[in-house]
Amino acid sequence: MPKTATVNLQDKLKYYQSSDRWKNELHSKSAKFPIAEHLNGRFVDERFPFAVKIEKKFPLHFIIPEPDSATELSLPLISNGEFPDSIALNRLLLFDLETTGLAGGAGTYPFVQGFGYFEDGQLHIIRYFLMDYGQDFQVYHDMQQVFSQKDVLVSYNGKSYDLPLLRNRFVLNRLENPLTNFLHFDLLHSVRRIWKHTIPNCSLGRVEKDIFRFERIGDIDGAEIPHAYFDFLKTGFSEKIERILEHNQLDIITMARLLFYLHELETGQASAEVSETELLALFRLTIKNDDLERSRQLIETCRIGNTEIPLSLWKDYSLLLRRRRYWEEAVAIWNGFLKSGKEILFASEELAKYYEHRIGDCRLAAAYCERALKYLEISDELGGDGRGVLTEIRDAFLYRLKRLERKTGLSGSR
Amino acid sequence: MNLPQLIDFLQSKPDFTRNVTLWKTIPAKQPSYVDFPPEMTEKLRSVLVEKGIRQLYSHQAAAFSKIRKGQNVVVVTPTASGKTLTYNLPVLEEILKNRQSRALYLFPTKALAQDQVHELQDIVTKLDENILSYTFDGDTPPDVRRTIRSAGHIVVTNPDMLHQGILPHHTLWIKLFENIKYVVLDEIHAYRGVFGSHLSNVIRRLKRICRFYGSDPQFICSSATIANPKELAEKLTGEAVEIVDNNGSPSGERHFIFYNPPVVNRELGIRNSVLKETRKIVRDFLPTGKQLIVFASSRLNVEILVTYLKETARQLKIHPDKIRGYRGGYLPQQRREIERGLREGTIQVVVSTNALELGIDIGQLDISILAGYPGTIASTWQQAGRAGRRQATSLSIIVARSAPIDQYIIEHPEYFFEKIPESANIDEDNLPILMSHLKCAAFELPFTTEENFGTDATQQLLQFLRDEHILRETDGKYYWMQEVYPADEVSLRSANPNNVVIVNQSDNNKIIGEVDLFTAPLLVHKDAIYLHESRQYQVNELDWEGKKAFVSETDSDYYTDAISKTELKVLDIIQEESRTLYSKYYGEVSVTTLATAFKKVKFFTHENVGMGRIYLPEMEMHSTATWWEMPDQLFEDPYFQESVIGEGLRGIAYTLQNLIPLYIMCDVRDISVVPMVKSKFSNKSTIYVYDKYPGGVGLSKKVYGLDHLVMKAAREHISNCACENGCPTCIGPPLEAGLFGKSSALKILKLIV
Repeated sequence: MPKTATVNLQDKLKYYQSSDRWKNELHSKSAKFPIAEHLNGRFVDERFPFAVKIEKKFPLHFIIPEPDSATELSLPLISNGEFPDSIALNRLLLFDLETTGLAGGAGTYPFVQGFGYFEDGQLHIIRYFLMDYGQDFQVYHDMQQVFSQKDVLVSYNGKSYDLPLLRNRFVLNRLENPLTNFLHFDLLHSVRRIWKHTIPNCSLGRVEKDIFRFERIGDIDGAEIPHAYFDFLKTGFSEKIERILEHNQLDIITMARLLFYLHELETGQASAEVSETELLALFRLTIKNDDLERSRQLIETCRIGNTEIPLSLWKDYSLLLRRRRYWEEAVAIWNGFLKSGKEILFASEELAKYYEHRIGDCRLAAAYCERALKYLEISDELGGDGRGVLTEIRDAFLYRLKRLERKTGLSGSR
Repeated sequence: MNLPQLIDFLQSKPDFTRNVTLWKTIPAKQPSYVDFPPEMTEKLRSVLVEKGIRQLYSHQAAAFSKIRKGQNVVVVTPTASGKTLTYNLPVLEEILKNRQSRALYLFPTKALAQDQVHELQDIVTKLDENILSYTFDGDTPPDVRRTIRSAGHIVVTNPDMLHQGILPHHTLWIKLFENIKYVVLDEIHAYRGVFGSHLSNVIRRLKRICRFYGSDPQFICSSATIANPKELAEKLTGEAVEIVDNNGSPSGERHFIFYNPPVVNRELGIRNSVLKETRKIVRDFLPTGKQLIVFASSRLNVEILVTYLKETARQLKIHPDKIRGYRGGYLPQQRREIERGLREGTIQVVVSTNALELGIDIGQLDISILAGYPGTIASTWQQAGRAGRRQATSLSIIVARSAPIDQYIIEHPEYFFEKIPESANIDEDNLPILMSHLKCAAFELPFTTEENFGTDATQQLLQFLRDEHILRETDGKYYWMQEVYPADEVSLRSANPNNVVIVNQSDNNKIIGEVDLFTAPLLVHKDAIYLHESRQYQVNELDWEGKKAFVSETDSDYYTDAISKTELKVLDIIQEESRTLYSKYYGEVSVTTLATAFKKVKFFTHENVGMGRIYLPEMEMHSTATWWEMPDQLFEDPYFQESVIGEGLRGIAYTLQNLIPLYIMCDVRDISVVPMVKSKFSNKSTIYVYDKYPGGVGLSKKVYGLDHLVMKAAREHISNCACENGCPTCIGPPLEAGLFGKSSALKILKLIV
């Protein structure tokens, strides 16, 4: 029998390797690079030279044209009621992470951690670059002081991504979570509320481009970030690290600008021309938040600027008026609908309710029901809506009409 | 007609009894009760009494005491023996005493998990103590997930979810991992082979996470009757486990009938097809209205039987919808609907693969029919156990196929009733599986340079992963250094992560099911007839890259059966032994399989009506094998011409393929026996037996130890067979085995054993 060499574990692993799709030609070089100086930073702790800290300050006029006015932000509508009171600037802590993967989970490591806060009329940005795994504890130790002075987090999609990741890191480092009692303002949610229809995917890059007319040059693609870090770990150097740090800083600056921009939108002192989209989004938010004052102002603004308010918003607005018992105005809108032949069913129903319950005029109420039923009959002739929804609506009107007829003593008319 | 009457009727029916080789009546068993253990809290006692339970079965009480003393246990009991109480009681006792405590329940499938939670919920509601138990699986909505993580006392899930959804996100489960007292592993006999090898590694990961949070849970396992429940539980948990098997539950009288279909072709030794014979038997039962379950040996047979039985029902004026199929590959909601139909009695007959062998709640039925020997004693008892309502008479019929394994069992009933059941094997150190989980574990928590992941090779493997840049070693720790999420790439159900989905083009491209990548070339090649819910679909196109098979409904009178070709390369010899006239080896091999063609087989008559070619890439896998090499001098007799040797080896291989599964607990499909007149590796006549799973799962290793026994059984089986020149029962059908197959096989076997 021909003798075969016995295969040991190492050889078996080679077989395993060839069947595995992860291949890598790069080999580890531990060429130390004076990275801290190169990045204009310094080591958090010289004894463990693996966490580089880079601090920068930006005067506020770099962010907004008239910085003197800003000491606090007012965002009740734009935060959809999450922040009803104004927030002092010095309470805010902006943050953004760059990580080794996008899937999340315990094995994802935030190797760049950027923080921003306002002090002495300046935006302070601190970025940490972690030159290896297991070094992030240095960040949390170093940031202790800042963490203790702030209580409102500001992020872009941090609620579902960055913050859970930080929580993981605290658990894995067996640290108490210093951010437990922070409020969290996630800018992405507000941006979605306002620009959902005009800015596709609402990425920070698109927001910059569409709102601030600012386009990044040579910005690193998010998908490249994990690999750039792995390259760095393997070779001890990657020019992409600088670009990642730059990217992180720009993200934080844009977040700051966005904060002020939203504040100006909210308070109606927007320096730039407010677009139609923004105006209508604000209007929607005022209705949603029951802010009748502001809605009225915004209708006026729309009128002056010739901005047409869509029917759906008028509908919502009329319901706000109803809630707040401004009956006359509401009735005027509903009658307007009927007159122009729009939203017939909605308007008839509201008017029927109004005359039945508010005024006690059941005959008039019944007339509105009949009007709606007539309209439904015609719709049916024209083929209905094809979904059977109309049948349900018809049943509701018939039911209402029967009740009204009982009340008025009229019956059998239909 | 009640069941005893039906049994009388069968006994008086000659064309039934003439085929019965054994009619065994297993007497009813009285229950054995003991009082509630003295340490049990008053609260729990009163709820049990409220449920009508005044005493416990002996095994329930024994388990309770051992568990509360801090021992890991495995409870071995038959179906319907009040098994769930054995773990629910100690777990609830713990939570009643310490409201911080948590427990994790693992069931082999999602469906089982959902069933069990209902049962648990019932006691919990009666306790009225705000104990929260939840199922956590892929269908759990996000907001409920949050509640489960922070507040769930008992989290019920399956291994796949633990592997992909919980462990990689362990930081969200702090409350669970800090306070976990018990891990319940139900139905561990389901965790054998690949699945078990995976689970054992998932448990290694679980224990590692628990250590990180400072907990050290106890394990409570349950198993059907197998030979090695303790060994299996210990391998799965990596802990010492105590066995509890003093079953105290009662059972009714059980009639167990061994039925051998009549020989239809004496010359060829062919018996009437098991499907036709099953159809005949069921025909007698249908008008009685009794609920019955038929277990078929393959997905294909399920579909064929359903077609046959619906036809029979129509003839008897019974609504064909009362007959349903059930198997893997059906969509979950379809399966739930069938389970409900069985419980509520709207379905009278279900034809199933072994998918219904596990404890999915379909209620107890009256009759079970096993169309073909299920392959193991353990499975046979499980499947038979599906019949038998509480303490009432039940009937199980096992119908033998012509296959050697079935004929062996039907001729040796003592093997079945006297032999202890088979053992369940896993290989927790299977390299591809171990590696997958080492990666997942590194993602979850960095490894230290001293850590042992349940195997001494841990550090060597970690260093390999470091050199491959999958992990980074720094400061005495190994960190995950990949962008991907490793658990996403590992499926616990197969050694191969990708499935091929089946897209029905005649119904808006609806996905009707899926098949795993290794069997895809055989089942869903272009022009294959794929059967699903007894509907026929023709495969229009198989998109190999996109892992999609596009099918459309068709109505043909044939089904397809693929033919494949296998090549084997020896990579490493681990063990070897020379006997006088042959040598045996155990080692590692690379196997390539190529589906080459398919046959079109007509329904009902089973005649071959055409062929087609299959153009698909080879599937390669690395596995373990045992093989026998026979030196040239064995064949000195001039009788042994090369073609004669070939026929003999093929015959032996056929027999071994069918008999080996009897000796090691596995399915005929889990191993493959390949004969070669001149092996490329040794240049000698060789027969290989390999595990049909990448990396091997310990099956062929078992064969290496039993090889003499297996060869002897093969010799006896072939020489005892009454046929002349071979038949499907011994060495295979004569047309395939050749004229000299039987004599050559016997001559070779007589020379070597």
